[in-house]
Formats: sequence, C-alpha cells, structure tokens
Amino acid sequence: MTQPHTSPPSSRPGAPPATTADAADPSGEPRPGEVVATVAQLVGEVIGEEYVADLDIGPDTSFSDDLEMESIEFVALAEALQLRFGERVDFVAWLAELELDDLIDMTVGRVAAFIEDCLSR
Amino acid sequence: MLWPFLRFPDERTVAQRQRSGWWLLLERWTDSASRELMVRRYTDADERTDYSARNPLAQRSWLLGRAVAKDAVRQHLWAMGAPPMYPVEVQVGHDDAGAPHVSAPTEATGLHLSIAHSAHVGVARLSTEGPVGIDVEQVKPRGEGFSALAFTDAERRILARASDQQPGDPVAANDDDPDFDVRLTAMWAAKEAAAKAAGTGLQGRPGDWMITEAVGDRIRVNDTWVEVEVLDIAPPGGNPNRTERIEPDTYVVAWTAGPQVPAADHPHDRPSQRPGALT
Repeated sequence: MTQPHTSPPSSRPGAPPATTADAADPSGEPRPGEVVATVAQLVGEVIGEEYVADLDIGPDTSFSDDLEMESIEFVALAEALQLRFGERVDFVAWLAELELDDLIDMTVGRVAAFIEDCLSR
Repeated sequence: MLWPFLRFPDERTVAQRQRSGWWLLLERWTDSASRELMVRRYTDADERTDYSARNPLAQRSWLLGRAVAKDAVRQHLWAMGAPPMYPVEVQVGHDDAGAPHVSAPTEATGLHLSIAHSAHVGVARLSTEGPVGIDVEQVKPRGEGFSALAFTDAERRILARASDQQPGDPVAANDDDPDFDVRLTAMWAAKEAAAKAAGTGLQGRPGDWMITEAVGDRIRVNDTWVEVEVLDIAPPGGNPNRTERIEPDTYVVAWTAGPQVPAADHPHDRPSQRPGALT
C-alpha cells in the first residue's frame, strides 16, 4: 500500500526538487505537485479507475510494487504522458538509457521529476 | 464451472484447458466473499500470509496466477494417472528471475510452467519438453506513440504490412483498420511470451526481443515462433436481468510454439475466434 501523504508536497520523501517559486512560474513551469497529480491521473486512465480507486497515488508510489503495472501499461502511460506534455518530454530517449533496476524501481515521483526537468529547460 | 469445483475440489478445476493446449481462468469472484472462498480453497497457510501482505491489486493478480497454475498442474498430473489432489497440494515457487516452478505430491519434476494475467483473465502453459512462455494482454486502443515506444521501424512495418490495407504511410495507425490494436497487442504479447520462455521475462527491454516475421496467427520473435489467439470475454459482474448488451473485452493470448513453424494443417483446427486476425 502507498503510504498516506499528509506532509506538504515539497517535503515528501522522493519528491522532485522544489522549485524556487511557490506561485505559478511566469515561464509556465508547473507548480510543485502538479506534475505528480497529472501522472497519477493518467495512471488511473491507463490501468482503469476501478483498480486505483482504493489507492492513494503519490510520489513514492511504485509502478510495479504498488500499482502492479504490467510493462505494456507502462508503455501506455509513457504514450499518454507524451501526448499530454508534448515534444519537450522525450520518453523514448529517456527510457532507452535507463537500466533495468531503474525501470523496476520506477516511482511516480521519478517520472514527475523527469518531466519537470524537461519542462524547466 | 465454480459449483462442481466447490463440491469436489480435489477432482475438479475452475480453470479450463483450451484446445490449443493452455489453461484459461476467468476471474468471476469479484465480491470479497467469493474471493475469500477462492483464497481458502487454493492457498495454504504460508501462501495466505504471502497473499495478505500484498495490496488489493497485487492480491487479485496473485490469486489468478496461482489458481490457474495449480489447476493446470493438477489436470496434467491427473492425465498422467495421479489420484485426486487439492489445489493446496500443489506448490508454485519462483526463481530469482521470477520464472515459476512447481512441486506436487506426485512426480512433477521436469514440468515447465509459465503463468500470465491481465485484468480478469489468467492463463498458464505447461510443458514436459522444455521451457515455455505464455502471455495475455487486454486489447486497448493504443496510438502511434505506443507503437513508436514499443517497436522498431522494422517491426512497425511488419505491424502495418500484416493488414495490407494501408495505402498511405506504411507505419501509421489507420482509422479504417479496426484490427490495428489487436495486432499491436499480439506483437507485444509475443515478445513477452518469448522472453518468458527464455526464463528472464521482458525486463523492460522490448528491443532485445525482435519480431522478424508474422505469418497468420504466428509471430517470430528472434528465433522463437509464438502462436497467438484472440478471445472476446465478457467482463464479470454483468446482471443477467439487464437487457442492454455488455460489450465483451478483447484479449490476446500468446504462447511459445518452439523453433519451428508448426504445420499449417494442424490435426485439430485452432479455435481462434478471429481466424487470421493478424493477416
């Protein structure tokens, strides 16, 4: 089970690094936690809301251990994220350079951190 | 299916052997009471501890996999002359790479097992001849992005050519091609099955398992031929009193067939519900 997330987003363990601005960044960068929420929403769309209804998806949620995602669903999630965030987020290149252990231990927070990194460039 | 099993759990199975030689188990125990009944029939104390430690999502797929594996092994051993046997008498373990192995009251050494699950469907395949792999995937609408992430350009040409009905871009999905997602899912499942037969699984590396050919309902992955079958399965929980029709979900099952192409004039025709779905 995913641990309950009661602390502020920026202090969650495994959370992406907090950005300097608390308010919406004028450059269009997402607020802290916003990308995590988007990833969580797309996870629900990919594996089905009926399966995630009882789960509290946060940065520490593991795709394999907590969500039981199959590899085909992980690819489907990558496709959904690519559609949502566009060409600035290159999942094909990112996934290609990851090691096996990285993929097995992949969490919502790591994917969100990668997206935020791409969007901030 | 469930009722005869509950009366004679040491002589009946819930999973059913398919004509193509693999076992199919449909999850029809969606409420907690009937799920608990399945857990009690199929697991011993150690397995129940293992089961209880998992989250609800993991419990469901774990139970599906264990049950279909135990039913497959029991039916196989009965066919070899074994006496009645309860599911708890069959033990399913995993090696470090995740490949399953079995032990049972009667001789089960040399029995190769592969298990897979997707949504409400569990499948298993057994062999006494060597390692086997099986996979099942629910067919869902996928797009170009999925195809680009999962397959090489050469594989995408096979994916497109298989339909032979796309006059435009040879690697693009086509709105007029309703079987595109079936073929795409079949190609993915074929990779999974071949990777599992090798004892490793896909491990997030679809590129290590190259599809080089697709002929009829057979797909070649590296040097391994994989057979695929398309199933339409109604989702569980349908109310028989409701008059509106519930659309079935489509699944693809893929299993390794060995290094040679099986003879086309197979003695018993494969019961594919969509013959030639890939061509």
